[in-house]
Amino acid sequence: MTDRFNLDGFYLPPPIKISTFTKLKFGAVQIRLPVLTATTLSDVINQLLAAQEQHLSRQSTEAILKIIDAAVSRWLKPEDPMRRTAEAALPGITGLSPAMVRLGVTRLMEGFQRDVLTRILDQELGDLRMLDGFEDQDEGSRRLIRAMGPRMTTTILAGNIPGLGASELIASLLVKSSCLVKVSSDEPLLTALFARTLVEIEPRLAHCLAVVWWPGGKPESKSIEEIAFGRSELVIAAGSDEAVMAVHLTVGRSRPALPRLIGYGHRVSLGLIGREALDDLKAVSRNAALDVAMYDQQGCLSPHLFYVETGGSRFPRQFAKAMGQELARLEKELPRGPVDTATSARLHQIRSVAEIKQANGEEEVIVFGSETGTLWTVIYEADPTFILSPLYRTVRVKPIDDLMHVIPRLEAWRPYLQAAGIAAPESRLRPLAEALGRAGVNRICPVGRMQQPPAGWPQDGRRFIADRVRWVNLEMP
Amino acid sequence: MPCQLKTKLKFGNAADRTCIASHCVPAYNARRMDTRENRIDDEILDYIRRPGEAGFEALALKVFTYQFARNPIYRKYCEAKNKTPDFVASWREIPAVPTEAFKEFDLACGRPEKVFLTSGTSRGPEIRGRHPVPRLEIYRASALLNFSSHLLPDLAEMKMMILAGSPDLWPRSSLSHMMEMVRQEYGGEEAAYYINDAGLDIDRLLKTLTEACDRNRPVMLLGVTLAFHEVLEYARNHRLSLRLPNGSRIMDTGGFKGRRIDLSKSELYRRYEEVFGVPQTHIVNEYGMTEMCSQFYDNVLADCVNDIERPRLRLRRKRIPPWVRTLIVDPETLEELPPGQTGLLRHYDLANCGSVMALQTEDVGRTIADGFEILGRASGAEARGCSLIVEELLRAR
Repeated sequence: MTDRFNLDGFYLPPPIKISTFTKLKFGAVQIRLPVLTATTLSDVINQLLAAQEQHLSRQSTEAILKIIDAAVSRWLKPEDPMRRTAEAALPGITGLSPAMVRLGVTRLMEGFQRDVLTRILDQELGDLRMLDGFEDQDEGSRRLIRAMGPRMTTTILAGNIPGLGASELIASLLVKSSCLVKVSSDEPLLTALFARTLVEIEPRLAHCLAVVWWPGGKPESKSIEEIAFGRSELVIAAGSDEAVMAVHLTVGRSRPALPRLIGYGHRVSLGLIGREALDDLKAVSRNAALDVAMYDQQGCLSPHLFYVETGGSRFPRQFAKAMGQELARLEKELPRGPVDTATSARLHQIRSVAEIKQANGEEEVIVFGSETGTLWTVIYEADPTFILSPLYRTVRVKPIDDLMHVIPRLEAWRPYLQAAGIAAPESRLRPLAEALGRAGVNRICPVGRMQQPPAGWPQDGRRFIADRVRWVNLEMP
Repeated sequence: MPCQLKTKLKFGNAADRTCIASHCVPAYNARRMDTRENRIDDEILDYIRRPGEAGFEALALKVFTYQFARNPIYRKYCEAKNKTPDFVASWREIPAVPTEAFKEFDLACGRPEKVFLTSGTSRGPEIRGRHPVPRLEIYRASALLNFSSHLLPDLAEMKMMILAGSPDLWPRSSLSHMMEMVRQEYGGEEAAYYINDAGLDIDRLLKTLTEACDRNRPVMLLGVTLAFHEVLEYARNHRLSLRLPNGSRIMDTGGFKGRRIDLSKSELYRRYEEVFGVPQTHIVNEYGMTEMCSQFYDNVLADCVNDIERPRLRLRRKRIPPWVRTLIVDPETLEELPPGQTGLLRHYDLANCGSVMALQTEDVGRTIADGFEILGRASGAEARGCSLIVEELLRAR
């Protein structure tokens, strides 16, 4: 990359000015972030609360949907300047290839189109007008009810997938909550860019949003975090279990205003291939490979391994080989980004150990991998134990005589399970889904769509909008 | 033997590029094997004690042939890679085994006298690497010679204060085993361990250090970096600083693996200097691993004593003993990198003849002059955000 980028990774409501900045360097990309003091943050929060009261809380949901739709439509246009900035800088920041970034941004934004959001609001709240005023609870009962969002939401973002911040801004605005977003130092750009698009479209939102950064959980950030959490009615924290726990503890200290907390911690996903799906080996292996390749397997929806049913027209090991071929093909279309030295080292260790097993015929192990480097690795392994992947397009394939027999294998991972991608006939899905749901899985979807969750999917088992609101009822005399 | 071991090593040109063009593979049978085993062990012992400039290549290939014959797991791996003794003409081509493999396989070439276990810090206690050592005498020869050359280039012995657990406390630890060997050989009569089952005995340590100052007799402090760090923290909280007698020295090892301690190497050494009054020339870091019988030490003390490069401390580097070769390889392609570039360390250690000589590590480093510098030790690949690393989950369980 020859271009040098100096970009701002923050958005602050005017007229707040910051004089001290910190810079995060990602190769040729340099992201400027404000160094917040307790006073500045208090000023920001005063703005956010006032604007929520005077402006945002008085807007109709339809009006907000219109603004969001306009912003999303801009971002879906390849020539949009904000999008182009993101596309140019994100590969350097995230380590994802440019093709992966382009696809990721498009998929993300497609999920927030107006009809999708309208449907989510109606489904989760019963009726989106609940956000605008009291509605009849039961017909003729003289009891009314409405939903109210928090005055202010503070969100601590994880950095694994670019764009999660955009989704947070959208959800906050939909419930008419001002939004303070703390970005991750792993991806401190897209959220601020999307915030600026929103403000360009509706300048009156300028005081309803703030995108900032501070060193999360560090002693020097203690007073900042106590102010942010103490003045929020809702705190959302995503990241490592440790980071989420740290937020829990700080939130617990931030009395007297004790906000609600939603934590999103570590999660893992897996794939299940039914024997029937092996009839079209090419299609199913292509879909599985795409789920592995997307975001270089960094998402909580990325499958760590695939269980493949025996007794079909192909052997599970043929599926492993075919998935390897598809990963090789994807390497051209959607290349993996560069990885750091420690990651390469780990991937080689895992692969070489599997090669030693294969050479020694221990259990049954077959390794399929990129010819050079660690670009992709498929390890076929007869041992059915659920094993985590070192990620970056490394995946295990394990035979299983019946997909239902996967369920007991998941027991140890129950608190961490997120999604199961399934390739099986529709007639088999319901019982499987019941069992997977009971085992702790929150999302069950077709293989090939694991990384394309519909907006409003129950991440960590929670609802996108409904978990943010509180309910107010009115009982008529 | 002790007498022989006190011969100091000469570190000449590190790269032995002699290549043996043809290599014959003898026929094997079990009865001949035992004598072969002893013979190769003895040859290696001889070489460690009296390394020749050109002998490494021949011996490395011999060890490879031996390991290929005696280590069935390694043999099958080499066959799968088409790297058999018939086709390997240089030590550089000998297939390296990933250190991770010690967690999965028994890689001994014979019945081990002892099996050392890795500490298991990076992947939780339940998965530990096992290094079987069939002949401890080789381990001993390598460890003692290398230690004395780098920690005692000027003296025959010195009072040792060991900030590690004794073999009684850490029976499976190769570090404890090594500490015990050097204690017995060079530690003097008053040498002692300062870690017990309650942790670091800081009161006793400070008492002994104060005595050493009063008696003005130099001491050697050696142990794990984490224990040193505990002393540094204690000293900071109690505003304590010592001036150990001239000639006192420090050997630390292990770094801060697995701990969230944000302290650079130079800052750490500066604080050693501040708290113990030991100059940087007398602070020697050891880099070793359970899977490998030989260790690496910083050159600084040996160079200082031999009056080489005294002011050029920035050239602090790990010295490669004559019976070891270290390559820096590209982390993706695993091809050898040109000098100065950063990559993964791969070691070829003749002293490992009882298990596997060629080890592919996850440690990051680069060559400096005739040695190398460690830039990062294996800690497992980092995963970002809401996905996770194996380690973290295993810990959570």
